[in-house]
Amino acid sequence: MASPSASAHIAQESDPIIAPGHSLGSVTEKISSVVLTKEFRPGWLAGFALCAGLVMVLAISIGWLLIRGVGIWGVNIPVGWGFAIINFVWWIGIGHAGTLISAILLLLNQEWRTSINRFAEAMTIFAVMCAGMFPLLHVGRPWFAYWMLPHPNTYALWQQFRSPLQWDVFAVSTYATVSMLFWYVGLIPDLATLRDRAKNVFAKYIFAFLSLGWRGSSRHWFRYETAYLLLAGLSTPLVVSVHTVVSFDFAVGIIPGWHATIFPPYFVAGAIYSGFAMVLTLAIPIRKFFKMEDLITSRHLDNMAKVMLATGLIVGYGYFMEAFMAWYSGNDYERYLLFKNRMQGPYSPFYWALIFCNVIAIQALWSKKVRRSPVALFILSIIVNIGMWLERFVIVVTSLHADFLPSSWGMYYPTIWDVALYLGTIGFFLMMMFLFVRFVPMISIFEVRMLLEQKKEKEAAS
Amino acid sequence: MTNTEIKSLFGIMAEFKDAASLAEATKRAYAMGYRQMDAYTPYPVEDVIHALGLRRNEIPFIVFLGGCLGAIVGFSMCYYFQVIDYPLVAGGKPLNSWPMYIPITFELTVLFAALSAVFGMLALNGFPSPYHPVFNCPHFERASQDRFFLCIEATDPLFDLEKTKQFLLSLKPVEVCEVAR
Amino acid sequence: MKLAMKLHDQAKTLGLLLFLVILNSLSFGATMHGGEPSAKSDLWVSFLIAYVFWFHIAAGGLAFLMIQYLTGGAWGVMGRRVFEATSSTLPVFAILLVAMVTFGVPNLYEWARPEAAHDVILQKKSAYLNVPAFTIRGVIYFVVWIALSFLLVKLGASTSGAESEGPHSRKKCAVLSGPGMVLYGLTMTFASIDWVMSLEPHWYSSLYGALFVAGQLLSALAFTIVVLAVLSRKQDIAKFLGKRHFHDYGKLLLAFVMLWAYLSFSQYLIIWSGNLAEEVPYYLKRLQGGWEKLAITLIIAHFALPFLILLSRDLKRQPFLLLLVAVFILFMRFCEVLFLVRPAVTTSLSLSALLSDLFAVAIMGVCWIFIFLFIFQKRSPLPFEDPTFAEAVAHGRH
Repeated sequence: MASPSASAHIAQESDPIIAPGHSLGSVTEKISSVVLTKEFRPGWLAGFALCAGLVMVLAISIGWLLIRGVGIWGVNIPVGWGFAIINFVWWIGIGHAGTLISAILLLLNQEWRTSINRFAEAMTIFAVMCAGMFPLLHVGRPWFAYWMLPHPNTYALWQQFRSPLQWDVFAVSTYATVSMLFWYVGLIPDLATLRDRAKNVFAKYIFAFLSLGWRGSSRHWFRYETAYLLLAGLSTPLVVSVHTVVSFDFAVGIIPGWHATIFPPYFVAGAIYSGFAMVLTLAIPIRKFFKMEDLITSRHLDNMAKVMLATGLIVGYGYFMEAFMAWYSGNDYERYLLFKNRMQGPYSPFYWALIFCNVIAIQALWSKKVRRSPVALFILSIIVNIGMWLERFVIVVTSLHADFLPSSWGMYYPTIWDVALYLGTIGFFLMMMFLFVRFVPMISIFEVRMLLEQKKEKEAAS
Repeated sequence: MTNTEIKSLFGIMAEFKDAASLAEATKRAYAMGYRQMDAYTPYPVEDVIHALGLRRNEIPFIVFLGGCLGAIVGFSMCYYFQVIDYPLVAGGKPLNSWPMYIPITFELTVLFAALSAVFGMLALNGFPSPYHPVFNCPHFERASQDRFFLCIEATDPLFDLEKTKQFLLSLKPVEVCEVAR
Repeated sequence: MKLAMKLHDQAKTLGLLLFLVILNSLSFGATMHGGEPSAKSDLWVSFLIAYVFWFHIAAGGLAFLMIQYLTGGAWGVMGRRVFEATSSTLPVFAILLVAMVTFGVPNLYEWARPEAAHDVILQKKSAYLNVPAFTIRGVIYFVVWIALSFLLVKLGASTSGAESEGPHSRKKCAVLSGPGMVLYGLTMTFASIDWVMSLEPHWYSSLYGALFVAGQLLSALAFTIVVLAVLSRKQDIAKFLGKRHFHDYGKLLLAFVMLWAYLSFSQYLIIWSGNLAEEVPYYLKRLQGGWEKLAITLIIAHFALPFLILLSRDLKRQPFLLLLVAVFILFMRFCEVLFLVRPAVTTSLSLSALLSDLFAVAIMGVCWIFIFLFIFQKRSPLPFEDPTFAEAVAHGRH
């Protein structure tokens, strides 16, 4: 759409996207050397080992689940949806920032995206993997998961296409596929760079194979750029649609607290919000550890903080509209759910904690000082991650535990296995991130080159 | 120069230090009438792409077709399953609950369009290509790092080993090399 | 001497504006005073449709004025004067609202009639839906909007100062625009509930405010494109307005067409599938009695057609073609406002009601456009003194 242009530039002229003094060769060297070194740094090994330990926890909790069944979880009547759906929505939400950063910011010509898009996309893929695990495990017999996809079968049955859960199957698998394509297409030129720089024969073969024989031909670049831009254009409505479909899982039902028309846009905003929070949670330590401060500058942090503030305000608007419309509807059930149950009921501490995390805490981001302080941002991003998890908890549990029939009211308590599975997916996610930053160029090298060249041209012009 | 030698030659490659000189060289080569040529750069350079005379490509059309196909497949799939092959009333909804078929229609539209963008691009670019002559040029590994190359191919009707070489040398490249097939 | 001239000029302007506005209100007031109660309320509905349609363009301009300060971008600089001028017309709507509150409320709104006292559900929400609260909220909305537009126009004018001061006051505007957008979002949501949603006081939808805002932004965008495309036909302006500016505007238009469709569809799907007695009548009313034709028209001509047309890159770069699309979208905006308001009162599509609505839109439109042009022509059509103007012009050349 619009160029990054005008005012944004002038206001932040002093704050470059790439620190001065870099050349084509030096950025190539800097980013690819992380991948092409033989050495494993002790910090990396320790972190990787810790996450691998959590993956063990994941393996054990899946194993026990397969042996005993979903009865080991805390879900029961009346709360039939517990941690599994909460974590599913949480992870899918986190998976939204990657494609958003890559796609929308590319369309908006926002050049600051370049340093963060690659690992935001990787984050998306890993988060979607974690998300996908939950519904697969929740179906009880994961080996029959393919029953969710339409295929000719001896029962002559088809899936129920009027069900939002069926839409979810299509939305999430499309999203996973397109995100991976987007990531891979973006990687091809960089894999070629690695192929040409690798000293190790084995590594050279692998990179040669993965880069498909890319040779930087201008005729190829021409089609490549068009395809990449179109993929970005397609991904943008796709990102919106995925969390919209997730929100339909709730909103198409008629349960008070779920059946609200504001759900689609407010879920989408929440997803972007949590996604950006997770990008910050990861980017701040990574840039410190790998000394990438001259490529992921405080300008990046500032911009991400602004996006977080904007989406956070939309989410706050969502909470407010939910409450106001519950009152305005004049419907006793809606009013009871919001004002008696959510705000004063047994789960009310969670509700108020989520309001604090998602609405009140982030008001600090109005201050430029906070937006430019990595430590403050890191803490805030963790708070938002927690807040967004709490939001899904509140939505899922409060509406289910006390429905239309008071005799069937009950409470939901997660078991140790719920928690173990959740921690396990966090471990899996972080482990994949550790592998990613070590074995794949975490910043898009060719796009940084392009940025450098544009900068040079601009300087020459002025 | 014998015929067999020409046949064993892919083209002549000139190496440049920056994008601007490559763009200038490409423009001059295009003006000389060379068409069978290609530039190799570490990132997309718009001026070079223009200088090669590339204006429009097929990708948007392919993506549009892919999207249309996806939309048709998506909706007709839902319609066929729910209305014709397995009509089952659920939740008091009509058999053709078209609003409820829109999400899947949309997802498949995007999926098909995205797949056709990626595979269309790869196919038209001829990937995967395990071998290509340009890699025979000594410094060519820098094409993916910080150097810019222009290769005039032997198949061009104006190609003449000596003349073309002289022409490329006149563009002040870092180096000129003959690329074996 | 000069000062006196200036004062004289301003007094003349003010007088003219007041005259127009009063004429406008009077013409409505006069036609609506006396006559059958149903006919009276019918005319007020026409008034409301015209009001909302033109209000969208003015208030959407205010939103875009703030958005362009926040995001930057060449398109925003190019459209700044249009946004400033449309948002400066907001006082006109404040005066028209006074007319509505004084004469129209019981005619328009069921909750303001005496029967509401016997309605159980309306009693539950009477703390919100009553005439004094409606009036006070109206005052608050307009104080917020007019203050924002006044401050932004004033601060924006000081960008014309010395070069060194320029960026600074753009920054000031940006600082004001952040909280300004928050205020705008909240007030506009409640305005949408007050003015339009409460026509059917039993019905509720928490998405409504967002849908209202999305439609509003689309209206304002289409109007801005029309103005800029007309300007680009003038020799001395054309050299600043490049094809790429129109390309950017075309993309924005496409984005907002999609956003509008997305929100409308989400609301429809959720209510249709829920099929609850308190919600679904809203759509049942709009899918019978001839209104279903309007609904289908909206799907095709408010979404599908512009969407497909705007996918073309070449079209977006042609100011004249883009102008045609924008005019068409403005007409569809009228159809949507009609779809939101009219079926609430009139059970079946009737030509006479349609004509009266179109007539109202036309009358108010003539007055509004006159006022808009008056304000717009007082300053340069493009913000030449904006510190980022040169860069914005350069952006358009590619």
